[in-house]
Amino acid sequence: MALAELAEPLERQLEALGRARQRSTPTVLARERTVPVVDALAPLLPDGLRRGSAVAVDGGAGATTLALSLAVAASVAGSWTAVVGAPWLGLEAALELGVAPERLLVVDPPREQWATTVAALVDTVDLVLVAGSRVAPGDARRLVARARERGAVLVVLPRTDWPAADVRLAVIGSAWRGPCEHGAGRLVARQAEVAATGRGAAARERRASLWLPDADGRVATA
Amino acid sequence: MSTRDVTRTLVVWCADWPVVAAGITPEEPAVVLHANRVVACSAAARREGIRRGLRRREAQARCPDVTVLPADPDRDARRFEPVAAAIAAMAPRVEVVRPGTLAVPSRGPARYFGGDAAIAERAAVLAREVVTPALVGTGVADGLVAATLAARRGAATVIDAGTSAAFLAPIPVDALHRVLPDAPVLELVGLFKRLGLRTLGDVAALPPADLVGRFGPLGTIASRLARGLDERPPRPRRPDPDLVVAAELDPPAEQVETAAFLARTLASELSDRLSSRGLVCTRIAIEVETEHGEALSRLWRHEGGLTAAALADRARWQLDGWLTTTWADRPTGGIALLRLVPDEVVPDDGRQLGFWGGAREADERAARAVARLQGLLGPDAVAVPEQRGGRSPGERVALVPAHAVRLGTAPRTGDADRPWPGHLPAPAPSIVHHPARRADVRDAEGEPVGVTGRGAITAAPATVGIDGRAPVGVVAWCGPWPVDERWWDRAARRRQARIQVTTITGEAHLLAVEAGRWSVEATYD
Repeated sequence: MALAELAEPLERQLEALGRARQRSTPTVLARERTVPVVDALAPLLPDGLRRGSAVAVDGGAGATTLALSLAVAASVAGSWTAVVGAPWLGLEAALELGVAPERLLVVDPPREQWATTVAALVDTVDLVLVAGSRVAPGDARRLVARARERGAVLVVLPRTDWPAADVRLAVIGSAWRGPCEHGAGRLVARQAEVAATGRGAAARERRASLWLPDADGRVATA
Repeated sequence: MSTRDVTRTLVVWCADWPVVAAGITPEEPAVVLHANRVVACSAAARREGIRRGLRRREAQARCPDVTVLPADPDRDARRFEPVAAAIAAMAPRVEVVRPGTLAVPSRGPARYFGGDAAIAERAAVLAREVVTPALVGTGVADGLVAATLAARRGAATVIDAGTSAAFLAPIPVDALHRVLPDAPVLELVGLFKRLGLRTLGDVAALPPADLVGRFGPLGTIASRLARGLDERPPRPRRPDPDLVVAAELDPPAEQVETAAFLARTLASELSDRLSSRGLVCTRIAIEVETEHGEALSRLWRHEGGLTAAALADRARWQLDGWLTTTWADRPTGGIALLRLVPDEVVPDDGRQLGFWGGAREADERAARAVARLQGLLGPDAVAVPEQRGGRSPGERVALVPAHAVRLGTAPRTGDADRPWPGHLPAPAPSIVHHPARRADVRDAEGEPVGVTGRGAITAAPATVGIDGRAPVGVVAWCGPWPVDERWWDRAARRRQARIQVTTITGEAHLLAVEAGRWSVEATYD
């Protein structure tokens, strides 16, 4: 009898503790499931880059700069970025756009180790910029599944055949400002028209006119 | 003092180990440099006034004929293995503290050999047989610190049980840094001195609780060490056997590098397991078995706790010590099994991650990715960018192997912000072609365009054909930027000029001309 009396408040206390635990468990907000992008890209990607998605960038001149600009905001905020299979990438351009050099890894694996390398990076790095001539559909599916599990974003660099990307960004047209008549001036800024298409909620095409880069070397709205 | 709280320890210390390991006799003036600072010097160099911490130039000024050697932790560790093996023949559980210093729990051996003085002398004799020119000090005392400092006094110093605190009291507080050569300890020692705590006795006299309150976990360790105790109470409990990581090598590895790659992967796995339990390893047994069934094992200890990289380093050093030696001492077969056994683990109280995983966590995760990829692809496979000076677009950012830098810290910018006359202004091209692509630049009349010796273009470019493809019309162009590099060196001199062009397809290229031949160096994509 006495034991039962004792046990009841204990139970009630445990219940209260359980409620407190529920309240204190951190909820994952929608914005924490995404990786931020710079303001200029917000019209194209209103929610930023969704973690666990693959974003393919392609199109005309300026596509590489556009792909690099996706990494800027996250890199500044403390995320790590990795570049796989793109020895041709002008890293100075990435650093000029604002990618933090101390949080950038560059790997150029042999072809047969490509998928393994990307998988290892997806496990630990927030943004993985990938390039390779052709990616097997099976590899792509596995890598996206892994990215979804680990909360990473795959950015597919131009001229890489990636099946079934969640969002596709394409440069439709671009023009440089700077060079004048008779060889005077220099390349200063590029205005580019960019279109984003996607699946599901992002199915409607969005367009934006951007500076890629502007006269200060940043990505800005034109 | 309760004797339960401290392990009676024998320390064998080889003076100026990095110099000795390089094969220099004490009579020869020599210094070992790391990052342009003297980290060790021979006795002869010390007589000339050379001290640790001096710059190379200062050392050479004090002793012009000094031999300068680069620091090589691999060499230090490799040459130390015979010493460890010699002492292991006398007493079990030899722990390598760092190359040049090893510790042995001495209670058992002292009973067997007839007292502390007997084992101290015996250890000195055994060590001297292996490293002939080295000055070897041995000391027996309560706790690692007192024993280490006793060993530094010279051969066979014995501090009686229970008197370690008295022995330590007059010793300057800098000794803490000798025993724990870590940056935070150096900072703490500096702070102690500014606070007027000049000897270990001063630190020991303070209430331990106050030291913890003021300096955190490091304060506890400092207080315990100054009182002649081990930095943590000895733990009789063995760590959980689940923490042991092992891997088989098939085919067995004869080369150090092959086994060291595997060790790196194991170290990162062990570090993951430890950190998931909030533990850190302070003593690790590195064990191998060869294809002929020989078993080798060695203990390494580190007071501050071993990180994944430190574990991998020690495993590599040890493998190097076993495999890179004379045929007589070498195991007869290749390494078939490698095992890392944590011998002592303590709760990890040294660092605090941010709430729900902060930036520190991201850095550590990236470091793990790097370790894994190095194991997979080779040690130089993962690179980080480093800004450097230069004129061509490919030169201005160099890739350095990730293991050569501290990940997550701002890289050196080198000469990047110096003026580089002739280099192109921002923006930088986003594609750099390796090797440069062939280009054919022609003017409106279809004649080849050139750049004169005075840096003037002969005609306005009108079309560009890349890699032999059909010429594309040029919308605008600018330049040239002439570059005359290394004109003083007949073999390496380069004279070229660059122009930027935009084409009717919307592309922009960086073209370079050298000896009349055009190439596409980079593309502004």
